[in-house]
Amino acid sequence: MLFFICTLGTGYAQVELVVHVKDDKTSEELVGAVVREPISKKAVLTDENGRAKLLLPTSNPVEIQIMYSGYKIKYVTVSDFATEVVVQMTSNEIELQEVVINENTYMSKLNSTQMSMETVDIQTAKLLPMVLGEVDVLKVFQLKPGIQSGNEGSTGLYVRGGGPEQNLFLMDEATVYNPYHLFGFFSVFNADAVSKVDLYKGGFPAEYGGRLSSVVDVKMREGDKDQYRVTGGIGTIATRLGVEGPIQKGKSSFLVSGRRTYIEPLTRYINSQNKNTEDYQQIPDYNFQDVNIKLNYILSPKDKVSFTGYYGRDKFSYPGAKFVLKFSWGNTVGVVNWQHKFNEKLYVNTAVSYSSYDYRMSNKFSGFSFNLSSGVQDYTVKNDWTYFFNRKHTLKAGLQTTSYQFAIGRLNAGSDDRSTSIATGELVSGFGYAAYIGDEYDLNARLKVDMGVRLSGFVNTKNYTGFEPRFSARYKISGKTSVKINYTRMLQYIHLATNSGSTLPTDIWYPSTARTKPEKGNQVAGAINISLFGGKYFLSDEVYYKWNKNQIDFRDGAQLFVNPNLEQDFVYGKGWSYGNEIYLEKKSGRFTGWIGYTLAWTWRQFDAINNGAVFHPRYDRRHDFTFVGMYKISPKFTVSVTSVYGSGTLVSLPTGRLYIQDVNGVNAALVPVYNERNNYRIPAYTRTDIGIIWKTGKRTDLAFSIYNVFNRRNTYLIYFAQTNDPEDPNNTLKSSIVAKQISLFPIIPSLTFNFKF
Amino acid sequence: MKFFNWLILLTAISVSMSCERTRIVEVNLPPSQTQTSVECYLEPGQPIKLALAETQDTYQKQTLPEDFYAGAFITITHSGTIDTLTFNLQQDTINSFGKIYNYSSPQIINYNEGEVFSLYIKTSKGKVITGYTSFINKVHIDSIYAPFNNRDKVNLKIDFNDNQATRDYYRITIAHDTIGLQQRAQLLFSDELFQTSKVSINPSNDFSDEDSLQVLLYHLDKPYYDFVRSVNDAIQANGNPFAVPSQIKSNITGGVGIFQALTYDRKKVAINK
Repeated sequence: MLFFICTLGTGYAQVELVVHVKDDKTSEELVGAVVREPISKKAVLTDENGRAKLLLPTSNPVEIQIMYSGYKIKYVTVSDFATEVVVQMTSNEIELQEVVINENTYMSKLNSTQMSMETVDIQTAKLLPMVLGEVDVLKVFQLKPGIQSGNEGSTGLYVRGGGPEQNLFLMDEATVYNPYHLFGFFSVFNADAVSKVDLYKGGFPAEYGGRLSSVVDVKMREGDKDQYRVTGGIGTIATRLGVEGPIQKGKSSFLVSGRRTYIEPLTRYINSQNKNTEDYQQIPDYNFQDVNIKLNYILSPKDKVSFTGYYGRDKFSYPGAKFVLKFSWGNTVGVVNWQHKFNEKLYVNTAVSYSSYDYRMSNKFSGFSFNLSSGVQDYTVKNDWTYFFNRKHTLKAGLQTTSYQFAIGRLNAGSDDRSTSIATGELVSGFGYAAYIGDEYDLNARLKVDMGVRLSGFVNTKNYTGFEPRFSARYKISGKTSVKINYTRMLQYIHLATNSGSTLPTDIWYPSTARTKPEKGNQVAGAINISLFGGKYFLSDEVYYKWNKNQIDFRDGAQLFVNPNLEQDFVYGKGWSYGNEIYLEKKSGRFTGWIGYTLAWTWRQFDAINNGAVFHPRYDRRHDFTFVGMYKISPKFTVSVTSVYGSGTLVSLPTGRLYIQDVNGVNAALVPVYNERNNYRIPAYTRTDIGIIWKTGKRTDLAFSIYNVFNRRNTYLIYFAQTNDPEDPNNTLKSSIVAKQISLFPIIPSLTFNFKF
Repeated sequence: MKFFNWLILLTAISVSMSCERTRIVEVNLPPSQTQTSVECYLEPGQPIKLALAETQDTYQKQTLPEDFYAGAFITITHSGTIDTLTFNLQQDTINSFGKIYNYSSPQIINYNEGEVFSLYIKTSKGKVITGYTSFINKVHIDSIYAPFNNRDKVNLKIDFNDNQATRDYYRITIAHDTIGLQQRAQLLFSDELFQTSKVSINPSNDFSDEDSLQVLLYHLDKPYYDFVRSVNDAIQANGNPFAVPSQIKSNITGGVGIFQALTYDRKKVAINK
C-alpha cells in the first residue's frame, strides 16, 4: 500500500496506448506477445487477456511492432491513443519461417521483477522430439534448469529439490490433482487445447499459494470465434481430434478436443496368439482418454464469461481366468470464469471451479470381491482484482476459498454369500481460505519492486493460519543487464501420501490434521539476466536457497495401500536445498534453442529415518545439463535435437542379507538387510532424442521422432538376484549374488500425422 | 494407406522394444556391519531348537563358517527353569521342510498361556543377545469349507471367531499334508478391517480333488506380526521401484531375528468330490 500512496500525486506527461493482440483467424487473444515501439525502444508483453499497455513519450502518430512466436511480425501505425488498438496477427502455420527478433525479445525478461519462471509455448513444444508421438508440455519443462523428471519417461516434476507432491497444477484457475496418464508417462494437458503454460519455481506472485515447490499455470485455448476448424493427429499410440468454432460469430466460441489411446487391439492380438502358450502372462488391457471443452462468450465490451471443462480417465483391466481386476483413475474439472472491466484501470476476475480426482479398483475371485477407492474433490471460489494506476504501478488483490472432501482408502470387501465383510476408509472434510495483496511498482528507471502478502488458513480437526510474505526486486544495471532478488514463503495445507520414488494413481491426498502440520517453505533467490549479441541470446544465472519445515515422508516399511491408519506411517522432518541454474537461450534465426545447467544439492533430516542423520532424498541430482536445438532447414522442414545429462539419483540398496527359515523351513529365504535410506547413487542418466517436422501440405504435417537415439541403457532399477556359482562344476548351486539393472526405454521411433482444416 | 502401414510398424516396434531390458551390472555397495542373527520358535510339544548365525554382505558367497557358529552360551528361562541349549548341528525333517538349526535342548515345550520365556545368548565373539516371548491365547478354526467351483477347483473358506474388543494379528498357512508339507498359501493380516467377530478367510489358491491339506491358524502378538511383515516387505522391496525399503523389525536386542512362542490351531482337510 505504501506504493499506492506514493503514486497518488504522481503525474505523467506521456501517452498510454492499449494494444489488444489477437489471432486473425480465430480471434483468440495472444498471451505473451511482444508489443514494441522502435523509436523509444519501449516494449511490453501482452497479459492473459491479450492486452498490453505501452507508455509513449509523444502523442504523435507512431508505428508499433508486434511479435509473437509462430506468427508473422506485424507493424501498425497508431494515431488515436484514446481507443484500444486491436491487432490481428497471422499465423505461420503454412510455412515454417525463421523468427527475426531483436534486442527487445528479452526486454520483458530483463524488465520484469519476476524470476524463477519458465514458459512453454505450444509452438515450441510441437517442434521438439516426442515420446511415442505425443506432444507433452510437462516434458518440455523437464528440459529447463532446476526442473527434473522422476523415473525415466515420467512427466513428474521435481522442482529445486521438491517432490512431485509439492507442485500446484492449475487449469484455467482450477486445481488438477493428478496431472498424469499412463502411470506418469503422459500429462493430462492435451497440446491441442492448451494456449500457454507458465511454471513458477520461485518468486511466487501473491495470488499463488498452496504448494511449496512450484506452480504450473495452464491456460486453455478459447477456440475460433470466426470460423469452424477441425484439428487432430494420428500417432503411434493415440489419436486426437478437436473441433472449434463460433457459437455466435465474433462474440462467442467453443472448443472440444479429445484424445484416446488405441493400443488394446495390438495387445489383445498378442494375447490371442499366445493363448495356448504355457505360463504365458496375459498383457492387461489399458487405455486412457480425455476431453477438453472450452466455451467463451463476450457479454459486452466489459464482460466476458468462459467455461473450461476437462474429463479424463485411465482404464486398466486384467480379465484373468482366476480373477478379474479393474482399475481406473482420472480427473474431472469444471471452471466458470467471469471477467469484468470497470474501466481501463480496474479489472476483476471471478472463478468458480470444481475439481476432483479419484481412483477405483475392483477385484473379483472365487466368490470373493473387493472394491477400493480414494479421491479428493474441491469447490473453489476465487475473486481477483487488478488496478493499473499507470504503467509503472499495478495493484493486485483477491480472495480464495476452497471446500475439500477427501476419501481416504475406502475399502469394501466381502464374500458373495455375505459371510465375510471388510470395510475401512474415511471421509474427511477441510476448508481452506486465503486473501492476498500484491503491489508492483517502478521506483525509478532502474529499480522495480513487487511486494505482496498472503494470509491463508485451513480448517479441519485443527485450525491453522499462516502468513506468507512475498518480495521481488529488479535492478537494471544497463539496458541489457538486470539483477533480481526475491524471497517467498509458501504454505501447503494438503499433502500427497506418495512414495518418493514415483507418482502413482494410488497416491492419496491427505489434509493437515492435529498431527500432520502444514508444510512450510521459504526460498531466497537471486539472478542476473543479460541480453547478448544484440538481443540474439539471453543468459540467465540464478542461485537459490530453500528451507522447508514439517516435511512428510513414510517410515521404513510403511504400508501405503489399504492402510486404515495411514497417518501413523507418516514421519516428519525438515529439508533444505540450494543450487545454481545457468540458462542460455537463442530465439532468433534459423537455429534456435537453449542450454541449461544446474548444480544443486538437496538434503532431508527426519528423526525416524536413518537414525536422524542428514540424508539426500531420491532426486538429489548434483549436475543436470540439457541441450535443445531446433533448426529450420527449409520452410517445410524443421529438425530438432534434445540431449540431457543428469547425475545419478539415489536408491536404497541392501548392504547385507539374512537367512530366514521361517517356522518349518518352507519359506526359507535370503532376506535383504537395508541399513540406510538412499545409500547408493545410480549411474548418470544421458539421452538424446531427434525430431523432424515435415510440412506435407498447407494444413498437414508429419512429426517423426526418435527417442533415445543412441539406445543408451539408462538405469531404471537395480535389484539383486541369486545366480549359479561360476565355481560349481555342475552348475546347480545358486549361491552367487549379482546386481541386475533394468532399463526401461531403448531407442523408440514414433510417427504422428497432424492435420488442421 | 502407406502412412498407416508405417504407423502400425512403428507401434509394433515401440511396444516390442519397450519391454524390460535386464543386464548384470557392477554395484559397489557401502560397507555393511555384520550382525548376529537368531531364529527360534517355541512350539508346544516340540524340543527347543535355535538357529544362530550372522548376517552376510550382499555379495558374500553363501557359505557357513567351519565351526557353524559353535561356542555360544545360550539359555532359555521360563517359570524359574533354566534350559541350556547346546551346540548340535541338525536338519529337521519331521514336520519341517529340511530346516537347519545348530543349538537345541531336549526340553519339550508346553503351552501355558501367559508363560514368559527369556532368551540369553553370549556368542563366541562376546556379543550378547536377549529377548523374551510368551504364549498368547489360542484362536480356534471353527470350520473349513471346501466347495468345488465351476473350474473343478476348490477354494477353501476358513472360519474363526475374532475378539472385536482387542487388536489381533493372524497368519494362515496351508500346506500339502502329503508331499513334505509343501506350502501352498500364506496370509498375514490384522483384524483392523473386520466388521464382525465371525471371520471367513478365503485364500485365492486353487486346490484339486484328492488334495490332503494342513491348515494352521496362528494367533500372533504385535512384535511377531511386525517381524513377519518386515521380512516380507524387505523381500518385496528388492526389485520393486514403488516399495518403501524395509528394515527387519526384530523382537530381540543385540542382534537381528526372532524369538517366538508359537500359538496356533491346526486342522487337516481332505478334498474329495
